[in-house]
Amino acid sequence: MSHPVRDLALAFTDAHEATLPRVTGRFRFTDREVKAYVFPQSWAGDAPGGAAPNEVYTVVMLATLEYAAAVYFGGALAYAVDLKDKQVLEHFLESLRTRLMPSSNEARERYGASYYAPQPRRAKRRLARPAIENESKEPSQ
Amino acid sequence: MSEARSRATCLGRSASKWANPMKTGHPITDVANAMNHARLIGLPPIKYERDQRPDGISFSDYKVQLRAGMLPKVVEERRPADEDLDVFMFPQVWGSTALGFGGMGGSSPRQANTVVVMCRKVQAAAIYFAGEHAYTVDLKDSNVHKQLHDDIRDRRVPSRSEATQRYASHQAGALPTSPGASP
Repeated sequence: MSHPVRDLALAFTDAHEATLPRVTGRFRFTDREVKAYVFPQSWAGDAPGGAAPNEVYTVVMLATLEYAAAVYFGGALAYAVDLKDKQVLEHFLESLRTRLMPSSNEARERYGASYYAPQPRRAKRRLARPAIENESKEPSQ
Repeated sequence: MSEARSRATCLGRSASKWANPMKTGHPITDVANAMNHARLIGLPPIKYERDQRPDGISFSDYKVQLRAGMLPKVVEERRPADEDLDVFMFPQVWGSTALGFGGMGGSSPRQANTVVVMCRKVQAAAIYFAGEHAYTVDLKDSNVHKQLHDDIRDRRVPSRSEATQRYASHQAGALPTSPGASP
């Protein structure tokens, strides 16, 4: 079974750096604007070559200001959900309440257009600092 | 009162620490603090049986007796490891800055991370508010176990004072604590 502190740290890093949307008008959100939920969840047939149940920690990062959530299984990003639709929000909160988050395939079917699959990592995804207006201008000589 | 307190063991620090409304917790540190405290103090030790090897016995005789199950059993204790724990964390809103510890506090609503560290082997759960230990619940009674899971599902774990009433009526006896636990 995975370790909750490790999974939570990985989820926080990914949510900050890449997955959750930026707060409008700001570079990124603060830790207090994100609600984190951690609970163990069992998955059947995850072990290779067998159907032994595998229990990993599920971490759900909920951005309350932007109505978005990111779901992590064992510290790895499974999917992100846009929660602006009221029906999607109710479905998501119900599965969060019962601590039975749908798998990636189930979430794609359940949430439809609000579902976002994890994107492959790029080298300079968000590491580029924001452009400064004066910097792009050539020196006036 | 003392009996109720012994049932829902209160090992946390004094509530006066929570009079500071500026104190904030981070989820990662809350979970790390809770797991550390649960492993060392918050949860009772795991008792297990092992075969005792008598003095002066040869290894071949020891193996024969071990296979035959003739060796005397010794009950030993160990502290819970990370693998023995199930951790639940969720934000919970309190009506006071004292959170669920009671005592003096500001009257503004305050959100803090509640961490429940559960050990199936000892059938106990330690409850933490903002990373600080509040109380420990004995889960040997199935009613208490179900009640706690319902509270976790509703994300409304009772405060320290409420827990003594809510969980005490189902508990059979006082929860054993580790020898190093401070009262």
